[in-house]
Amino acid sequence: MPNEVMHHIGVRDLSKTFETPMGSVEALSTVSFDIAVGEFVSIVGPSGCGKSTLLKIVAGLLPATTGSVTINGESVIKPFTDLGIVFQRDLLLESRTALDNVLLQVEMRGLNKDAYKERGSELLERMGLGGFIDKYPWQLSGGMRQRVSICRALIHDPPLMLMDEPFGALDALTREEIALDLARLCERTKKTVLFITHSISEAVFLSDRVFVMTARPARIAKEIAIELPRPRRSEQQEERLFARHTGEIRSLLFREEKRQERD
Amino acid sequence: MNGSKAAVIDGKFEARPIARRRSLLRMIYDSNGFSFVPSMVGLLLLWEFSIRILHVPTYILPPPVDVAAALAAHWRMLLVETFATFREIMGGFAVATFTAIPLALLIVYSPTFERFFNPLIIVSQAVPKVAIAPLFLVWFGFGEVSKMLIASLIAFFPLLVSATVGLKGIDPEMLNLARSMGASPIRTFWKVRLPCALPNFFGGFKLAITFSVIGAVIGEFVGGDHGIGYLILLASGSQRLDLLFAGLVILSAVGLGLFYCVEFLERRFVSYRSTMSVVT
Repeated sequence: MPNEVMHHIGVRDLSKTFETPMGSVEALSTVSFDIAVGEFVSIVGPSGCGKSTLLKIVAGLLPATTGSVTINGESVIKPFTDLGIVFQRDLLLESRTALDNVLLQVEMRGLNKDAYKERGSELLERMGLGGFIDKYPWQLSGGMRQRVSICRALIHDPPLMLMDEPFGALDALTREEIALDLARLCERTKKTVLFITHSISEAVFLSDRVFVMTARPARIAKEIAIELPRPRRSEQQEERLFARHTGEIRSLLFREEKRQERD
Repeated sequence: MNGSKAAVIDGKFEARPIARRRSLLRMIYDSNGFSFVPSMVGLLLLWEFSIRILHVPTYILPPPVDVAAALAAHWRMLLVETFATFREIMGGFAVATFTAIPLALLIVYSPTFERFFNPLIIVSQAVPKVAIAPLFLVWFGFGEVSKMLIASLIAFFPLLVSATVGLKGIDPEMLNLARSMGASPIRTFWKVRLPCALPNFFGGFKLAITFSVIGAVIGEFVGGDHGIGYLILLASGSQRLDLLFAGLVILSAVGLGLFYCVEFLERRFVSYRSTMSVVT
């Protein structure tokens, strides 16, 4: 029992097959892993390998073909709501200001909007958007928009965050900046995070563990524990340990990309 | 405190969504800067003088001065007829709105309904609506009701298509996000789906209001004893082209005014990238 409480997310023998007019496509094949409470886990893999599918199944947004997902020991059979999700696109509503976009989370959950206004402004300020609280999405840059969507995922203080390539659409520098903000935030608030990315250095920099996926049908090729001490700092990216981790992941990924090309 | 006045004004200007605080006149000014005024005046002058120089008889083409005189002389009668047509237009627009929007919702939320009724709706559009107008006169009489229904028949389809496209066009990921927030379908509709579809709704409203004007006039052409369309028909029969043109002027003014009213509402309810993108 104590063992179960320790595990926030449990994934057992998960597989997913999509039926398409061209025949069935196996996206995931027997994926199993556990994520502990407060752990930051990244998933990297060849593009189109089914990482997003995995995240959607964990969130209960997509049914698995076989296998099971449990969160807090309960199996996920419908959309799990005690979480915050950040997608690759920021999905902001053009008709709402930055703050109102953040508060959408609160309104959709039927919580008292006024009670969260202050927290919303605070979150935006902490994310460097203090001067943009009343701005509309079209007045913000791509990086700012994604920061707003991260705040939206955090406003209700969920214990779990699922992030699906949240920085994929951003330029390299903005990406690094937000990653650093995110690392600090997660270290402070002790959230469990499942993070999907195809940036190897981002995965190493943010995570406690990195799962490297195989080409389709995706399995976990290797699980790598990142030994960099916390709190994480930008300078750690210059260290030898960091390079060793990224090197290992890169060679694994290259192997998978090659395999995918052969098939 | 005086010194910081400019900064305060500046700050207010920055923070306030300008698009929402506009008056109708201000909006027309912003959208084209009344640049139509000089070209319009130029056109009227050209019209007036070419008629005088070329000696065009007034039963072929009356000069603008005659049209203005007709407007002034018969303003009371014209006002009454304008109101009749206006009622038909607004009635037609309302009927179109209250049938097209619920139908769009049914199509979007019920795949079964869409499968069975969408072909029917599309086939119904293949019938030339002008040809149905006489039938409506038989069914609903020669009064304003039949004209309203003809107007709504013509305005209905573009509105239905725009609303359906808008509601269906929502990013599926947005719906996933809504589901992960634990929101009910009704709440998702009001907070996410409708706001996302609103620009399309207003596109549809603009088409519908313009089509309603056309529909009302067609109705009056087909049969009746009221309205500007009827007046135009009478004027053409009795070669009173000054009155005919007065009718045209009124119809254009009504159509344009209604179009701007919809656009005004659009700017109030839809936050627009395009209205500000020139500034930033």
